[in-house]
Amino acid sequence: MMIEINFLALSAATLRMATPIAFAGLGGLMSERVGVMNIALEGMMMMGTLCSAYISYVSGNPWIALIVTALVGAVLGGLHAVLCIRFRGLQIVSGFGINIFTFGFTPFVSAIVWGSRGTSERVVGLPTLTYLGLKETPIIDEILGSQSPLMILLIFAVILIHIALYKTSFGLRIRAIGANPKAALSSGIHIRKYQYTCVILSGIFASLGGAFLVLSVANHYSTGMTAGRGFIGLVAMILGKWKPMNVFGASILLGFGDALQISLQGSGIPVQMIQTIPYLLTIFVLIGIVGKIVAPTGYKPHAED
Amino acid sequence: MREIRQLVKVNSLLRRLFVIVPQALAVVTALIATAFVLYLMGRNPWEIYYIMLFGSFGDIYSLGATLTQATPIIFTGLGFMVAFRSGLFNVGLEGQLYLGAFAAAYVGFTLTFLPPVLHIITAIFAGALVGGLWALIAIIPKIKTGAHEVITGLMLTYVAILLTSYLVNYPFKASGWAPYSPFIAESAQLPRILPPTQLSFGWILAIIFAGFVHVLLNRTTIGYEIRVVGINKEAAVSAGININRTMILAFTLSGCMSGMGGAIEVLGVHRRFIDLFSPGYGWDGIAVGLLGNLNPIGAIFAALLLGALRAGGSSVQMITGLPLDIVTMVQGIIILFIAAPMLYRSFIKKIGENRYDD
Amino acid sequence: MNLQVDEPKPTPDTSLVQPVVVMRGITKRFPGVIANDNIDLSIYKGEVLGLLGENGAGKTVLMSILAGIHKPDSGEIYIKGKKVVINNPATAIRHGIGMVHQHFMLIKELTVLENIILGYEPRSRGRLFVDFQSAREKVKQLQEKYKLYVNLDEILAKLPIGLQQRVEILKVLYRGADILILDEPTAVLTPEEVGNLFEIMKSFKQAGKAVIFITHKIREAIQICDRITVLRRGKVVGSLNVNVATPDALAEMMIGKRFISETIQRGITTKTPLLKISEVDVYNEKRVKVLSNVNLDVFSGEILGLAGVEGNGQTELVEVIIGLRKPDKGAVFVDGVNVTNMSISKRFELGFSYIPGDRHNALVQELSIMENILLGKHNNPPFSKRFFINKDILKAHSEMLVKEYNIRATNIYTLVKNLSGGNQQRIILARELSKNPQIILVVNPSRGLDIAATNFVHSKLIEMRNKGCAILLVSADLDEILNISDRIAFIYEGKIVTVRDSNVLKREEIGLLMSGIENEGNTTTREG
Repeated sequence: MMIEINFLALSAATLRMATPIAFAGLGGLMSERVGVMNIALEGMMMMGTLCSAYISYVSGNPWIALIVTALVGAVLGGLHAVLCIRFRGLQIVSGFGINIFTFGFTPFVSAIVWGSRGTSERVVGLPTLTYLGLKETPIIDEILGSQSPLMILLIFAVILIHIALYKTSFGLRIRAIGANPKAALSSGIHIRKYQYTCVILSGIFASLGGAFLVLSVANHYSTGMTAGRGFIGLVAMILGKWKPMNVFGASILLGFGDALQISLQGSGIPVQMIQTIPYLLTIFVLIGIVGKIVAPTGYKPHAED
Repeated sequence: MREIRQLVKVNSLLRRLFVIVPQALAVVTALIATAFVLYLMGRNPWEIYYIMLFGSFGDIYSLGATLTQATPIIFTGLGFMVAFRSGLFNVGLEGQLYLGAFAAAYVGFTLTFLPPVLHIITAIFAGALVGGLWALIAIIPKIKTGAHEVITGLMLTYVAILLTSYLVNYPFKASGWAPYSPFIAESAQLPRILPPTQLSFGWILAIIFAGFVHVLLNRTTIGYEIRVVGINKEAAVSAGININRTMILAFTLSGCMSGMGGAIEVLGVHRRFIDLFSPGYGWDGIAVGLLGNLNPIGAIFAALLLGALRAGGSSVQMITGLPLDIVTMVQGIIILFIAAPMLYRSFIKKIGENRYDD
Repeated sequence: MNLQVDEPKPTPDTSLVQPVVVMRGITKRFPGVIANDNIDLSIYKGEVLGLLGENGAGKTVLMSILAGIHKPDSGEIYIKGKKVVINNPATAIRHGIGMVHQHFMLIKELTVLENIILGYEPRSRGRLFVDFQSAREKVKQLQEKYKLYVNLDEILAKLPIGLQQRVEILKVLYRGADILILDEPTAVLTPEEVGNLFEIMKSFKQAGKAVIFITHKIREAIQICDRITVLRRGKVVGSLNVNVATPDALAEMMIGKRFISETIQRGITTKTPLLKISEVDVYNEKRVKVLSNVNLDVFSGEILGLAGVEGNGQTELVEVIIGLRKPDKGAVFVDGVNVTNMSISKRFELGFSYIPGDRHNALVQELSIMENILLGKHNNPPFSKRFFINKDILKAHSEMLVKEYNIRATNIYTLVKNLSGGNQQRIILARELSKNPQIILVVNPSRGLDIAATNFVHSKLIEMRNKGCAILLVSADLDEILNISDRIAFIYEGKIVTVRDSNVLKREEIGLLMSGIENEGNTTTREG
């Protein structure tokens, strides 16, 4: 019985911890599909944590917090887009600029609002899905019932992006732009329009991932709570070969590492060693990818600039 | 535009100054932007900047604090620079710093039989070695499979910080409840050179090392190859340069430098390894590398600037209660504004291109 | 295979029919060169017009103007009698002009159908979704009509080049092109695929479309075109109906009056060649044979010029000689040593030197003159000793070279990117020639240079030759080759057509040899 419950809890936790990674992964996917590398996902996610906590704190309504957070994410995405038109080396610099700025900005604001640069007060979070009336099926209820509505949003997003990419003209053009911008241009496509849209979307996704951490996991803000999930999301994106369904699957794999780490805490193993598990998992995944990793050609890993 | 270029070509001194304009502009703009943010929060930015200025250069304590904070940043900045010159991004500097610091501390409190100078050298060497190895782990996948060294480097950073945290909380924890390692032996300590501040001989070492990197980049064949690979890979290949070997070398050296920075911080300032001792020196290295215009002498000035920001920021925190993170914010804005002129210059270049081939 | 002149093709009776496209007085300049000089051109429906000329004649530029990629400096364009202004590719498409580029503008990761409809996707369910069904039907119709069969759902990258070209053509037809421009389409095709392409072009003619066939290949032009217009150095030389066009006449129009300079004093010659290329075959990434049984010998004290229009295998040959590419068969010998498996730097050590065609690959723009002179030598004494670069020696050496080669710059610390093309070339020459090489491989040395700079380059090469150097000169500029070569080899479609002493070469033969046609008495034969 013990094992079964642990397994269930682990599955539930995996799905839960996969969510922010998947948000970041989808964000990365949208951006890189048009040839823009978004290394600022972590910073955008951090902004998401701060913003959602603050708005929920001030308004008491987590849904409003969610909407505002998405807007803030869009703004940051727009900033990154403006700085990154086309030039890859600079994309990394610009991305880090945003990251480092938020590394400082978030504890700064936290200290001013809540008097502590570490953690905030408890804020109203999002409800879980238990009210969906799944009580009849205990296993599924255990796993799904504890999930957040954001997870539903995530699944919608995965499906939507998949449909968009392969069935709409918007998606077709995006795939073209990322693969061969010159050819896309010669087909009369306005590249900029699509690039801006996608990078802004990626900002929205990343910040929603942050909102998830606050509103559905911790119910408060704490500095550094993103713990690199923005970057892990990029690993999910690479593992998923820039395809939405596969990125979601990769997020589950990487989310497992996170869930495992959480469940092992308090088991006697030093906490720091446990916490390395998700990162080591990503490194093994990255190193273990056999064959060349080829991103949408807007920036092949070997391209300069 | 062409007239300006002619003018600049004629007067080389003017040209030297012209080059730092984008950086200076970035710093000034960042300060103005932060002042604006402060103003929005209801604080008086000028008062805060005054405290900052005094807190970084006002008296001997401030000056000492500035130089002390600048010391490790010079190393990480040089590290970023060397990797960047070869076209690579070493963003794992923070992790290499931590590992280097621990390695040095370990040598410091374990190999206590060594005579003073040798002990210091061994400790620093250990730090460099470990830092270099850690960087090597990040660059090999890039060479073999194209896995981006930024992502690998970042993951390794988290691992490194957690690893050293574990080491100092469990096996190597000194007695007591705080996460400190044992003190290093006196023979491993870098002497203080500006009592009563914490400024150690490490500062001198940092300057000397910057000079060393300058010589490396500009006067050795290795440095030359690194620079060529970073600018024009095809020309390098046509000249017979082995690109992969050069990139690996540059990146590993970069890690060594960051490891050294950590080592010197332990040997000179803390004299033991303290959990999470770095306020972000590794990230500062990125700003320093970019601000210093990728030139070791510039790195010294950039590090001084950032050290001043940190020292001044401490003052501000002490006096007004405004958190130190404001420094990090300024840094981020600086980096963004440095990215902007780089973008502008590349953009101009692309416009000027009007190729003709039949 | 003998080239047969078909019975006179029915050509449109141009006196009665209005041309569908008229280009009048088109002039286009690029920095340093006049690409199109007051060109008049008429194109009729239902014909294949050949646009014939060497590299740099201006053919692609002219058609790019028609396709909206470039804007003319002066001149007018009339479509179906109405004057039009074509500012961008979209406008050209609207007027029914479609260009199939030499380098395909296709997206490898997408399917054939997706590539064809990109940018012009039919919509369903309110502008959002792509109506793949109707797209498919429309494309299928085109496929049937013109026999352009290809699997619509295949990922483009998996198709051979011949089929990829079909996709490019379908793209253009899908957008409703009536005026089709094909830019050197046969360059990437096998002979069989060329035959298929010509059949397709005939069906375009029958459908009443106008086809413009840009090429440098004389016999192909004769095979498929109804009329042939020859361009040379940006000007129209003339137009011939195909039933009166002979290879000789066309070659003469293409090449013009070229004088072979008088025999230059040849240096010493030894029996063994310093550079020997033996039976080299190369297949490129698409498994197309780009070099076939290439044999070349370059002796000490001579300049061997390799003449041929760009794209006939010269690039791959150069890569094989330097060491950037391994031949699939055959070997390269430098001074008797088999270097086929040696690294680039090792070959340099044997006294081999390379002056590349693209200055960007030979110079590091962001570095100074002095540091560029160091490139390639940086690991050798006296410039370096155990890792350290000897700045003083480098400085003295650089200053000497700057003087000797007349490089105009403020000083040796000037960044190379601030220098003119001519000066940059001088730096490359200075660097390479001062190594006192035995063998020099030089590619397009005077491209983009003015007359003075060109003469300087040539005189330096002759100087090296007189010192006993073996020089392989690969150039798309026929004048350059004729001016300084002792012997001339002609390369066409990856094969060496022939090697002749420059002083026995007949002027009339040159154009033909460039097109792979070697005259033997009265019959014209083709290699292959």
